[in-house]
Amino acid sequence: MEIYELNEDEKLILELLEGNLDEESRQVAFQKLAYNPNLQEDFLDYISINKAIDVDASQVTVPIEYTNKIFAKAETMQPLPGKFLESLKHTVMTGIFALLMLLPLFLGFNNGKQNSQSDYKHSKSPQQISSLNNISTNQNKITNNFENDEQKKIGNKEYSRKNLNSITQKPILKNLTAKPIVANQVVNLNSLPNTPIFVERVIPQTVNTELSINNNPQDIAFANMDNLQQESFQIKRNQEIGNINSNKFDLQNFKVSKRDLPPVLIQYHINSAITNPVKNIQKNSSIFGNYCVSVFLETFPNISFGAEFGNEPFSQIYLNSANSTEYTQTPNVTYFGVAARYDANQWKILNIHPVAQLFAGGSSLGPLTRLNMQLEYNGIKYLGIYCGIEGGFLLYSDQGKWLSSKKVGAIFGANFKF
Amino acid sequence: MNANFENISDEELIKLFKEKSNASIQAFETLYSRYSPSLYLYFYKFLKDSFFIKDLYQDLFLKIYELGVEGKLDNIDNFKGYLYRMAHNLALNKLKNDEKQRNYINSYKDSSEETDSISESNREDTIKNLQDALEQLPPQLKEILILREYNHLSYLEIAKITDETMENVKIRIFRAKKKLKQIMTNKSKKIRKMV
Repeated sequence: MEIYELNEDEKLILELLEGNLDEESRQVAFQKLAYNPNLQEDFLDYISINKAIDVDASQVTVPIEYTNKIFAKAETMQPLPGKFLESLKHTVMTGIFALLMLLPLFLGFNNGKQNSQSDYKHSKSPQQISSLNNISTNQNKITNNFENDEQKKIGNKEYSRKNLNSITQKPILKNLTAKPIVANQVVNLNSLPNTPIFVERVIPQTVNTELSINNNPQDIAFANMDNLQQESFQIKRNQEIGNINSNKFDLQNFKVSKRDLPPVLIQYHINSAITNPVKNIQKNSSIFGNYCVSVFLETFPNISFGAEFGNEPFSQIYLNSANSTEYTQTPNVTYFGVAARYDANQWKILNIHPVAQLFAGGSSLGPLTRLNMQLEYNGIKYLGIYCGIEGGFLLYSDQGKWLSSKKVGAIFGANFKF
Repeated sequence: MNANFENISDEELIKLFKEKSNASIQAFETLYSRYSPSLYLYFYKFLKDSFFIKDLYQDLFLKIYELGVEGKLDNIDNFKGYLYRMAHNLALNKLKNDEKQRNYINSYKDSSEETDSISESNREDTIKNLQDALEQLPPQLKEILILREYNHLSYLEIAKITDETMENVKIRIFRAKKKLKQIMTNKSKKIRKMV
């Protein structure tokens, strides 16, 4: 940069413009101006420029939307007492609300299922029930007196007879629970082919248990368990009852209901390489600020429902339509809500199967939806390891206007099923 | 704005940012009203690009509030100087980061660059001519002229913001005015008749 020094005239004008001169110096300066028209003209020009600057400056005002935007954001940064709790409360309440919304759907499904079973039960006539009872008492009986399992042939068919006690001692699977509630009820389970039946006895009585098998085309096996001593035992269709290629089992005096406690799955995952389609937010994707914890109940075969909470960054991009100006920020969002999970076990290869998960709930900014598509490895007992992709869609409001933030990313996680 | 805050110094207001009550936002509001017009003027005149200005202006005040809430401004003894220094850094960084502004930065480094004369104007266009002339100043001169004449900062304050000696600032401001006068004179022979 060139070195610049003021000459005497310039120094004089500067001092006059700054108003730093005392009265005596000022008089001397004005005398100089009076005898130097060029200098005088320069001085007046500078004064004119100063005046023009004042006018120009007065014409510039802060746009009101700038101020509004700053204070809208500042309000969220304000360290008010209980602000965190308020935010947490908002998140939890939204999540609970979402859970409550899902509950009727869940209960409705189960009621429908039980009703259909009930309908089937009542569709049987008393004669049919009587007939079945007769079959049970007149044909193959399994009692506690049997020491070992037994094969028996009736006509062209061969049936297995099992000692119910021995079955009891080796429970196989727990998918359905049957509880005796009213005497002389017949419950048909034929709508669940290949489904293991778990039978639970509430009040053990005397030793007089029998399991009878019918050999007609409507092959029916049923058990009169009124006097069964064991509190629980299992029957697995086509295995425990033997070679009967039957589609039906009737368990007399038992009501079948869904298993009380489905398998529970707890999982944790982190997000990585998260990218907003508009703005890269990888720098905000730390492991500890970017996680998800889930708890699922396997409510139906392959379908689980549960709850999730976690923390993820989302980009917020405000657009000023007046001048197309963008304002962006990337806050970490805490969320809580309901989730559904589908395990595509039918496509399992080498203990790896696809899984889809959907989340809906509330967050510290607004409603959030996330969709996960992942591949899960279940080669280790109780443990699952998975990776996949996640898409997120967040709605938030800015000055009464709803805006959205979208992103995609990779997820890595593990779960524990028991 | 809370009237009780008007007589409180900048530094005391900043300490109130940490208060877990409405005093926090009211203190920010008071500081904002003190400095928002002059800082907006600074960005507006210096950058003359609305796309930048909104970002910088909002970032500046939100950052100040964030730092204040976190207690990181508690040791600042001259908030005004700190604020302008921050604005100065934000503006220069923005210019450096923007590809379109590369030439502008180059001219910022070379303040000896001559400016072209502009077309004739008339009395009614005085302010417009001033604005045009200001745009033609090299950025280095333009910024300190804005800080001095538009924002009314002292030479010492400007010296601290721009990391220069006070004497240099004084000379450069006069140079800026002289260049401004030269551009405006080339456009219209008599500046005084325009005002």
